[in-house]
Amino acid sequence: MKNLKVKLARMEKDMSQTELARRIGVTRQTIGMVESGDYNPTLNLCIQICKELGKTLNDLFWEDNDNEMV
Amino acid sequence: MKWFNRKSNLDEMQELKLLKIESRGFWIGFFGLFVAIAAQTFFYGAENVQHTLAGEFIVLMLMGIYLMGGCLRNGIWDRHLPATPVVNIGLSLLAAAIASLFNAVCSYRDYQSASGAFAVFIVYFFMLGTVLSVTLCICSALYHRKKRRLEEENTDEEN
Repeated sequence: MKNLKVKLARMEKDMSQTELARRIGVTRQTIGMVESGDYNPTLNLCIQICKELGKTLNDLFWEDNDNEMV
Repeated sequence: MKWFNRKSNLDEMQELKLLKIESRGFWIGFFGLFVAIAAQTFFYGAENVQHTLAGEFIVLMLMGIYLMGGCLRNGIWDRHLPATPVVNIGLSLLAAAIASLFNAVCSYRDYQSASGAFAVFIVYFFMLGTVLSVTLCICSALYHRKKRRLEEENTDEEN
């Protein structure tokens, strides 16, 4: 499932995938795969993404019945 | 030594991909060795190639022992099959049948005797079937014991 929340949070900060990846210390490919839903990040990586984007785990990675990630 | 980085150059996603690649490489090597040994034994005869195949055989055995030992130590059996006597004996008999058929065909090729080949099949089937069944059942018992110990270990930590 695509993770649009991560993508939207990143765009809010006016950050490219490359920039976010550089700040976290992963490849741009990894960020791309997290956003497209092709890779399930570890909890550590989820926390690092949240810290960089100024969001909580709930904001970016929680799956609601009503607001499921598309 | 600037060319060597002790810290990994890969991120977690790349590490997982590399692990998958290495895993597939292992199986290519494992089955490649198995097919190479079987093919050379079939085409040249076991008596003629036993010395030349000793190295491949040892490597294949080491790979198998490492895989089995590692899985048992960590309480892992199989992705899809349960560790039950019915499955163990069924798979043992299937493997014994395939190996026995292979030996029976080799025997027929060498001696052109159908009854001899049939006798080879029967003897190998019962011998291999027994040895494989017993081995799998012992491994299965070790797996269950290890899994129980690992579960109990975690319970102790929670308390």
